[in-house]
Amino acid sequence: MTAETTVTMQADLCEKTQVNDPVLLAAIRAVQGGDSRAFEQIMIATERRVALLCWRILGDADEVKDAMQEIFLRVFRHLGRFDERRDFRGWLFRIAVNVCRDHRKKRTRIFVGLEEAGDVACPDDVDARIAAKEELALLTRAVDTLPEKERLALILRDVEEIPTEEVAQILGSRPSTVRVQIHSARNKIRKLMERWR
Amino acid sequence: MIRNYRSQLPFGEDVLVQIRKDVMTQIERDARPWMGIFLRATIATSALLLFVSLPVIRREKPVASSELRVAREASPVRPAQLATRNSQPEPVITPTSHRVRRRPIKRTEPVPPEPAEVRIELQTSDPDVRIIWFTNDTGDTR
Repeated sequence: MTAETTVTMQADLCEKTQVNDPVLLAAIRAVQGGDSRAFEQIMIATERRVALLCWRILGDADEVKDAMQEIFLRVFRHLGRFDERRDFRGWLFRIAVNVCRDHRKKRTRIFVGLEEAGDVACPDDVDARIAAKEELALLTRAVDTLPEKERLALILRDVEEIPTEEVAQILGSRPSTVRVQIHSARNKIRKLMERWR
Repeated sequence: MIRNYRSQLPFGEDVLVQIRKDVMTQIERDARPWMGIFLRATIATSALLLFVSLPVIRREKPVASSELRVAREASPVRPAQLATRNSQPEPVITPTSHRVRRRPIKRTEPVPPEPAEVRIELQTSDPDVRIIWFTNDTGDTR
């Protein structure tokens, strides 16, 4: 089989479907056909993005681990009903957001300290790096103080860079509502950051 | 700046591998068909046993105190009681469809009476000599 034939086959596989990754699409079809072992391929292809999304929403490593297990088990149980003409990432993220929402409801809000804020891609200058880290810690804290809906809309739109229409689908609201929520969230963060500096 | 919001995972690749392993184990466990069959069979057997044993348990149910009260009130009432009862109307209690279970009366076999013994004493002319004659219902004599 030549490389050209493989590419043509992969193009055929992705035809009439929203799933762009041929490996992922083949795995989805295999699981839908009863091969549960193929689900591991789906996990490998998506786990990092799901883990990051959970981490951004939950902000707690242990909770992220629990949530990820629940998300993938839920995905496996409902994959038989997934229509491949739909966007798989959107469908997966919708499940992830719902699971994370459930987890957040069970506990009180947490605040992230400076050391947990993460590293920033910064110049070599040590002062600049510390300043950027402090800025990021403030930002993290500001995002954590937002109301649930605004927070989720901001994370999906500005951090995950998902188009507004898709965000609306994931959150189960209208695009206009999401736009308002994002606008409000950005304003609140700006004001909070100015006050804390 | 916002794109850097929690941009790094708080755990490494090994944790992701472990999560994947746990999920796959759970999926395989759920996929075992005999477990489901066994569970369904157990539930069905339990339900069947309960269904079969229920009428037996009902039949052996002791008579409820309320039923006994109904039976007692159905019995003839003394005039003194009647007088007090007439002064205040009592709620009408309809007898239930259940039959009042009564204790079976022990029937003892009648003991046959002891055969009556008749003693006949005859005085002779000699005061020192007496003839004593014993007899019973059966006709035996001594």
